[in-house]
Amino acid sequence: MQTRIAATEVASRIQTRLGVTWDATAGDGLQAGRPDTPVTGIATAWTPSLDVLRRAVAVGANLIITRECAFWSREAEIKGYSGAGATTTRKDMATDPTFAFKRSFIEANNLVLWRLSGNWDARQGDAQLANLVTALGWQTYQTDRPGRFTLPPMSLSALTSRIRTALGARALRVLGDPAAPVRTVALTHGFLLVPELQRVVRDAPVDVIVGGEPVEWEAFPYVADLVTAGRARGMILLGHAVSEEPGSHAVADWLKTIVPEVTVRFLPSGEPFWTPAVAGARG
Amino acid sequence: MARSDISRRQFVYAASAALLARPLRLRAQAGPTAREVVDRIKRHVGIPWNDSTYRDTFKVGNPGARVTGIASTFMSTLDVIQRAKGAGLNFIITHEPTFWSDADVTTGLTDDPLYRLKVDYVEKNQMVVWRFHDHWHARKPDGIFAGWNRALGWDRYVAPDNERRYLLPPTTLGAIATHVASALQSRSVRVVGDPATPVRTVARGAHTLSGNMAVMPNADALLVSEAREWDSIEYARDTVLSGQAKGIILVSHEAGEEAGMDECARWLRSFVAEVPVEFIPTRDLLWTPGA
Repeated sequence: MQTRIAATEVASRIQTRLGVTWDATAGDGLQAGRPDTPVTGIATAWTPSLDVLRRAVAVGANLIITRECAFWSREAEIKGYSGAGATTTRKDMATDPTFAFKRSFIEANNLVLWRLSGNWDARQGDAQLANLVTALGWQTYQTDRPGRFTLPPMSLSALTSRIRTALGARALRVLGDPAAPVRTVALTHGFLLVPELQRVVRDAPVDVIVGGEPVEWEAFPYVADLVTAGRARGMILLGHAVSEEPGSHAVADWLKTIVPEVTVRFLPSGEPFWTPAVAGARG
Repeated sequence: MARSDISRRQFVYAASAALLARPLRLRAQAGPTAREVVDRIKRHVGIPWNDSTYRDTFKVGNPGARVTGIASTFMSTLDVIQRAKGAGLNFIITHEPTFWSDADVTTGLTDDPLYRLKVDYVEKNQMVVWRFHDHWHARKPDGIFAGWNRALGWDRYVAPDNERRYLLPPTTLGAIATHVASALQSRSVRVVGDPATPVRTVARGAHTLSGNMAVMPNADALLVSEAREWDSIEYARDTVLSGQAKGIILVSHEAGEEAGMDECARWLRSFVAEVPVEFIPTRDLLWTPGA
């Protein structure tokens, strides 16, 4: 019987083949489980939710490689975020029932959870963005600036509907007049911070900023002020999960090329939210 | 006589009053300065003032400017500042930042055209912005929660031993979500959990994972205004997936706290009688496309 590749061997292949000098301070690496575990299959996902873990077990994958952390907290300061409160560590979670349940599930199923985030982003080109563009079907609208698109003219509301359909998302949130005519778009993903926003709008203004998750006392009011000042028309918020999910598919595609011994799958985490029907909701 | 002559004469009076440090009848009719209003707030707030706060400070404009009227608001967005100007209110008391970070750090903003535009607008119109966050929250009861409870109609459900906890008549997660969206006039409410989940105990959560984790085990549902999606929201999703009959209702930061600044305007009127005090809503600017 063929010896299976160990999780630690997959990890070292990732580190050596990624094409960047491995940054040990990026928070990537082992999140849970025993690194010497023989790998039966690999699953990539945006976040290792219990649902993702159950589906991984069902298809025989025991190495789960994700962008977010096993126990939610990134356990580190985030640069450029004026967030409130201290970071939460696993020690703080010791008595939490959800933490205990998830840890037991991981142990009982002999899973290994591994994080790949900052080092993945350090690669040449933005794979997260590229796969999001493909998911949106915007390749033909790409301008010569990365993340900039010129779309056929439409209303902000119509653009929202198109994005919603393309990404299969329910809980998009939008800032701006639904009837506003829009054409130029800046596309970002994940956590949207003010310095990135400034970089995005600095040289060439856009009608709409499409992104993942802004802080509502930082990037969000920055865009609200841009709209009031007449320098933008709106913002479409995909949600963190929806904006990063396509990129986790890209991780699976790449892993297939360096770990041929086992099956590598992408498992969608899905959108966490639903929205109540509200009288007067627009769009 | 031309109007400019009168104002020039008033200026001379005011200037000589300042120079001679002598009260003048004309001054009695003018409003207090922004700094005087803040001093009055400090005397009335009912808790010791923490002078080391970086939040509850003047953000832009001259604190010595005469106040023509006060606008109490959730956030001093450019739109709110412009509407305050239109209403003749030149002193803005804001719960949240003006320059897009918790401490209103202006490093990295000085060359930003949007920052310049906002500062210029305030200065050109002799307006003043002061933040009122920490102390309004620290009051007993918390000024923001007091407004929120009133807006939700939940005053009578507040747990006797914990103002962040509500004991409701039996209902469901879905019914609460609909009520919250309607009572807070928000079109951007998002929910994690089965709408049919039975709910009696609701805890008010926090922006942080630690804050939400502290209350989730002892509540059927959490009501949270703005939390990070990768931690608090995924923790909630895993809580539901682990088989616990719970849920989280996430409202925008604005929807969760704005009513507290309407409350603040009511409170300010009780000791600032010389000038108008108005609540200027930012409104929940986010909308969710319909199904």
